[in-house]
Amino acid sequence: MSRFHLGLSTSGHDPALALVDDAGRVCFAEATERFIQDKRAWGAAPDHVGHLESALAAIGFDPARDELIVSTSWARVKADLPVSVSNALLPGSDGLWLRGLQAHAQAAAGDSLLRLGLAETAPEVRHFDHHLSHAVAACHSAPFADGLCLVIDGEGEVGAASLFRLRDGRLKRLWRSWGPGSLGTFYAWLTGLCGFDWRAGEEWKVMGLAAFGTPDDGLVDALETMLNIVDGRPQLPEQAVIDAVVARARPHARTPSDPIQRAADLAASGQAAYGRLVDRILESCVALGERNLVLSGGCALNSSYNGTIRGRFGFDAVHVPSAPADDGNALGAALLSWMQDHPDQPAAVGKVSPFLGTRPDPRVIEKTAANCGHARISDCGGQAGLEVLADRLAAGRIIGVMRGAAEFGPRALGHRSILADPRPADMKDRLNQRVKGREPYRPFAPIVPADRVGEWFDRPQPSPYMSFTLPWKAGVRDRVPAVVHADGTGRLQTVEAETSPWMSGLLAAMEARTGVPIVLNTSFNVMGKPIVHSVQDAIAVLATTGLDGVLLEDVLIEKTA
Amino acid sequence: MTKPTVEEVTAFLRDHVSKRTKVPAEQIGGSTVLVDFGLESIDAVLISGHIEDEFQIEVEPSLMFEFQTLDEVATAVVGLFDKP
Repeated sequence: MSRFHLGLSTSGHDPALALVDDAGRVCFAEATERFIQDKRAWGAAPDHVGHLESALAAIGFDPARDELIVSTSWARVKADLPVSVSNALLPGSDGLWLRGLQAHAQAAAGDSLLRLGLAETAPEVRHFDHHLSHAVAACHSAPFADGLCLVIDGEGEVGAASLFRLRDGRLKRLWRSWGPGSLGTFYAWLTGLCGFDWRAGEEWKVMGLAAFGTPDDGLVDALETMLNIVDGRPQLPEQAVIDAVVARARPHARTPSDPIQRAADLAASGQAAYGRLVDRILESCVALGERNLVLSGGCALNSSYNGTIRGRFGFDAVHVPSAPADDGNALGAALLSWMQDHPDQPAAVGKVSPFLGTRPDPRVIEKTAANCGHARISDCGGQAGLEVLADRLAAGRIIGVMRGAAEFGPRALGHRSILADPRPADMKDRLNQRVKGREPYRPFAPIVPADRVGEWFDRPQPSPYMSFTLPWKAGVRDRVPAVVHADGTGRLQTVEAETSPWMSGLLAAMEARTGVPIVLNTSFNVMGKPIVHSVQDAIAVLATTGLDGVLLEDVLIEKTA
Repeated sequence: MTKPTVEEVTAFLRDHVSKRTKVPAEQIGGSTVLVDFGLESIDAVLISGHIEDEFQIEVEPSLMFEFQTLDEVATAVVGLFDKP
């Protein structure tokens, strides 16, 4: 008999499940939104019956032989405390809604085992601290065993920030903030002020738009006062201060129907204020003397800020996991459950693959190839296949790639990616207009060989999960205009030949044709939809957009006209 | 952190309750129900954070709601040091 630990992200938003085996190995991890194809999957069960069933099948779980231990990413139900929902920055109705979703997710966790015949009564469920779940998941993939781990997000068990010390693979919390002061809520408020919707995860749009604006020093100063940072802990100021900031920012606000550019200076100012606030948290950590930083929680998705940390505050290395937001907590809960069973063993740290999700069904690929009468089908395996793909990309084709296990986390890292040549100046507009359907101001990202980052970027550093935005070197920007953002930066993914031989081979093949060892990489989805999950999803994007072809494992399917 | 006395924790709490409610510390008795001083739920949350930082111990978020008076909260905090 084997025991598997099923971790569930039970925030009510961004549900996910993760499976860890008895040896502490991560076997599977995937956000629910992928399976049900509903972005952020608000209110969906993290142990969604169909998703859990397919995940268990993927890892070879045998109900007759194996055992499943369920755990969640929250120690408590937030609504159980008689604390009023804060409406200081966001409407109280949003807070009440979130509380209800979290309460339901916590209460129903594990119920799907009844439906799947894996339990006869509601299973016992282990519950783990929310920020500890973030920290354990993040440190699991850290390339070092000692350092600090800062978790900053919208809301935790008692506050929205925790600091842990990582020592020999074990975590100890140094402090946590209490109360509604929150960097995540600050950014959500800013998102609304810019005319976007935080509930749709549109913080991305603020970050993208910030590059087009200029921070207004007076506005940055005012926005910074929206939070006090006391010994590293974010706290809300007096209501009079909040009211003053709201009044100061209001003239810069944009309604959803206003032109996007109207909010550019506000976005830039808000991003700058966010940076100052996190800087102040990290300044409070300097005295602790650690050289390595792990950053997690939803705020760790702010790649623009993340790219500025290394080399400051005494940190030589900064690690952000592939899934720092609440989806990643499924992995944290599963690992904590395993650690509970193995108190004498530290959790493993090191380079863990982010490719932990569902694989494309080979039978469906076979049927697709057999039934695509109108398309050109090519075998694209091995080195010859890489050469074919590079030929297509260098000729300006836009190709969707679905290979191997899906990425865990929001970024497409080459397994569920749309790839293109970064050199044509019009490639960005072509992608936006023909395929992605998203706003023209949003950037596209490059994939770069890890050992050559210094040739292309200032402040070079590893970025295996697209967690860091860095400035392109001034002299190379006109060589890859489709992946250079308005402020001269790029949110790069670095790949190593040892861990990513296929992508490394593709970059080499591209360089042989184009002189540039770089491809444009954007997530394989259309605006408003999650990244494709099934082969059918991928074919639907091919059929309904200007995508030129899809690579399903080693089968290349291309439009003939 | 060494185990504090109930008196030390009580004095610490009295100071913070006084700051948040604007009630003079000398008027805050150990056996009076805290909400009667006008202590609100957000005050209770923030004071819990101060307890953690001052005494270097993690407390339950429900601490200030489960126990109604200064003395009860202080006794509960000191009791945490006896747990393994």
